[in-house]
Amino acid sequence: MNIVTVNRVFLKILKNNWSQRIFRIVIGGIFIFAGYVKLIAPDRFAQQIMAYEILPWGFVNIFTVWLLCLEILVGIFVVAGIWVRSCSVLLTGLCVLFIGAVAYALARDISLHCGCFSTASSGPARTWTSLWQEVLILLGCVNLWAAKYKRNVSHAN
Amino acid sequence: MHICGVISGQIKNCVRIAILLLLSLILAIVVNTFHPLRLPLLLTDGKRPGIPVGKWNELRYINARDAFNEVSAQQGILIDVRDTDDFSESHASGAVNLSYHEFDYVYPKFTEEVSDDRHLYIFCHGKLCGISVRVAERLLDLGFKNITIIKQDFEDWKASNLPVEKKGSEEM
Repeated sequence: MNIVTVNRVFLKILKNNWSQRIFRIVIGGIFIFAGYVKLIAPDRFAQQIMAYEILPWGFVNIFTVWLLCLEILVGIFVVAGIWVRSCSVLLTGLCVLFIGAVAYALARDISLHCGCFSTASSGPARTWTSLWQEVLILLGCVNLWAAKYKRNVSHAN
Repeated sequence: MHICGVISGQIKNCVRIAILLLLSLILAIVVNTFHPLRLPLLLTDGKRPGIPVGKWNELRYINARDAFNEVSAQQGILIDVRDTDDFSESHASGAVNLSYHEFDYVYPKFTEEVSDDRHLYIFCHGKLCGISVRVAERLLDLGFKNITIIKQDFEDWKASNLPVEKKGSEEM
């Protein structure tokens, strides 16, 4: 099997309705899980956001709770298949925001224990290489958007 | 015709995004109101983020001069939560170092030696330092009841001409 065939099979799987559904559930599930585990202890997550030194203190608390609810709400919409394109745009934006915030903090030598999937401060500190998980989720969100976009365009035609 | 469809699709998309943002904001306010660790959504008076409403009510705030007087009168303990290096460079006379960044390693010894009914006065390095409140929060969780935060922190302590010990020198 050469590389072209592998590529073709891979694209076929990606375009398949069922694989898209599974993909949607995985991406939505990741955001629901990430939002839920942090919403258990919003105070700790607010302190982690404060450590990034990006937002003025006055906005940190409201931004924390709002961000977590947005993650969960959009995740639920994606899993349920409601407004998937709009949600995938929002999720892509969130991923870009997370990557930008971590990169900004790392560039300023701020030691972070980013609360992406937990609020524990005992985990390993963030490094440039640890950004792979956000990049992977970002690719997933872009794929979700692209698949829905292609389908909408083909329906319009 | 196709372009009109794309544009209307984009508008619909933007409206949906706005609805989602608004819905999540309403959800956030509702969830926060009923959350056991409810956060004050609007922070005023330079309050530190990430401290639940319930915890704020358990903490007291005073200035450095009053703290000095109270520590002497009530045999309270001054706690400096800055890093060990900063502490050894200079610190308030009689202060104990309980570094925020090493808290997990040093607190067992601290809780062993200090009873939880002692008055603790906590400060860090500057007025925008949030770690004193975070240490206070941890100490509240460990059972300490009488915790006071020194407003303006170590800078105010020095500015108020209160006694300071410096590395390699006697008390000033």
